[in-house]
Amino acid sequence: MRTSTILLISCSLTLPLILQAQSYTPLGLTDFTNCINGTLSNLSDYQTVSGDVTSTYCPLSTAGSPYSVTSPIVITLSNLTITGAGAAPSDTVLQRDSSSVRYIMQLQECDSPGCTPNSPTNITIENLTFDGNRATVQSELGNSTFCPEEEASYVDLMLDSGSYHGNSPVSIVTVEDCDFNNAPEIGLWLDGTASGDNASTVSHSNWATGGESTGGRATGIFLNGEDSGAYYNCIKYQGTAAINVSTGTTNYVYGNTIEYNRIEDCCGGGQIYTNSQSSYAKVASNWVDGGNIQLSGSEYRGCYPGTNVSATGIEIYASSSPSFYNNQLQNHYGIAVEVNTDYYPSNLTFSATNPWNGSDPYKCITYTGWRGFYFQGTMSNYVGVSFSDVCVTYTGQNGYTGVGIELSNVNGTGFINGACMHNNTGTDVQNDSYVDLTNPPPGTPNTCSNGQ
Amino acid sequence: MPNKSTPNARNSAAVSDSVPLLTVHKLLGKCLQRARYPCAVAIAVITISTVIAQQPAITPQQHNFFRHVLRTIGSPDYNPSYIADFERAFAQRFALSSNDAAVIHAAAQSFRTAVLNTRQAEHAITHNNSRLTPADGAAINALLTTQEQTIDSLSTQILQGISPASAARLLAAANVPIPIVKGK
Repeated sequence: MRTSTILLISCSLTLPLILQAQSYTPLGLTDFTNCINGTLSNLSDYQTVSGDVTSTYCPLSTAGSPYSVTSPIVITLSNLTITGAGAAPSDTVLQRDSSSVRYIMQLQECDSPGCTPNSPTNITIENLTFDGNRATVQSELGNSTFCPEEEASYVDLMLDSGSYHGNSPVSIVTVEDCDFNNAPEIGLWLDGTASGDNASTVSHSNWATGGESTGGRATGIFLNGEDSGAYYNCIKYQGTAAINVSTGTTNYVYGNTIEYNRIEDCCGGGQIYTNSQSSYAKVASNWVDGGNIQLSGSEYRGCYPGTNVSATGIEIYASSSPSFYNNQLQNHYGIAVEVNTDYYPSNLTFSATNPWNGSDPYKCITYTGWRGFYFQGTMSNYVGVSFSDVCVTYTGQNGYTGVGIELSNVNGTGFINGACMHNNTGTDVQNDSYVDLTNPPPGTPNTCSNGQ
Repeated sequence: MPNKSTPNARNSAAVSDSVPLLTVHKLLGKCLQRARYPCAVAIAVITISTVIAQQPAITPQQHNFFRHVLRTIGSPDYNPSYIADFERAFAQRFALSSNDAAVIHAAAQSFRTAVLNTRQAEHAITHNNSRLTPADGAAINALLTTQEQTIDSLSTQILQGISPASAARLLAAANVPIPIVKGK
């Protein structure tokens, strides 16, 4: 398989490709778009040509100075690696120039009905910083009128080849060691269909590395597709969810550090959110901290979040058969895990056992304000639930009388392999209406294997 | 930039492999027969070999895991509170002792120095250079290769400096395949 690599700062093409002469921009000028798009275009034109080994270089920037992207960088080719050539992602910053740039970088899309997606695949994007330039976008559009949450008007790295538009995505993209700052809306939209042992992933990447003032307005990662996953990322200070498992099947949210998100939200919700069109999501070994944040409703970076709302750790809306394994959820102001049973989620699994790492330290749902688990619903439908060795402790913070697990509208297996619950200021388990479990909640075993 | 999935540094494995067991036995035998100096050399060789053999070469997957840890905790660019929060959460999630955390912190500070050195050397190549030559590109690649090798050596330093139980936990986490597939 022929693989092409583009290095940013020095964009060197290492394969025997003949390229058109590039028009170089002198050092200090910062419009990067023409160079990278020109390079990709030339690759497309000449990828079947072999001959002399030549190289082409994009304009230089000094470390930390952003490349200004004046129109989206469109990836049309397969087997392509785009790599920042600096010592760290922050050495190669791709910054949205203005509000006219919807995406900083994107896969070639198929926007019109009946079109055939090009679906470039086997793409790797690494060691780059995506700077959404939120301040400029909001300034140009007007702070009071541009406070989007889930509209996908702006996505800094848009890796969707078609599913969003009703087509079948086949692209596999790897995003690794990238940073995402100042998104005016969504940081990363990931899609793709698994093939063999490969699937689209984002891993070892960081959000809001400059602190709270560099957080994105809406969601950090929109996760879609088949077997696509987010692994070992650190996501902080996003306006809404850190990760939205939006559509698709068997998407993985694994090992991420997720803290202090949903800080601009209208109505509260999960730092990890499983949406109605997702199925078989696997959420495991994540470290999720709410920071005991409750929003005041006052103006924040030009927008107005809700009053007295707070983030939950995990919010399950209507997804089918999601599983949650050994996640630490701590310091959530009101609720750690919220299940809305009115929207027919089904076959929920909560377990302290990590299927992929037997030596993963035991994790708990702990130091929550009002409810560790909260199943809420007004209708008399049932949601199948299995709990296995779950740990819920120290619920009842922030002035609340805390209940470890409040159940309603649930049936199914119920509690297996015991549960570890202690120091919940109210009851450990409260059964409301429509609770029909084969294995009812155990008594109060006060021993947790990790001392939490 | 060199491919991070195939790091070049394999020094620990190379050294370990270069001292086969038969050689060690021979050295021990001679040590018992001869003077003090060769004996000391033999013991030193055995000791080094044993220590290094305890930590196999860092795999590409482990390399990527530790790269993220080192580059985040050691970042010269990130907000200090971002780094502190990440470092705290990392220590808690893997049940690390204060000594373990200190070892990782020290390794990250070494990586920070490596990043700054790489950055300075790149700047020397690119400063006032409006058109990079292939030789310039090769020089930058060499710098980045060296930095990637530093990740391997610092990862080994971490794994040998923290408790065996903590090292096992980190390696188990690093060995989780990315992506997980076939696990439906």
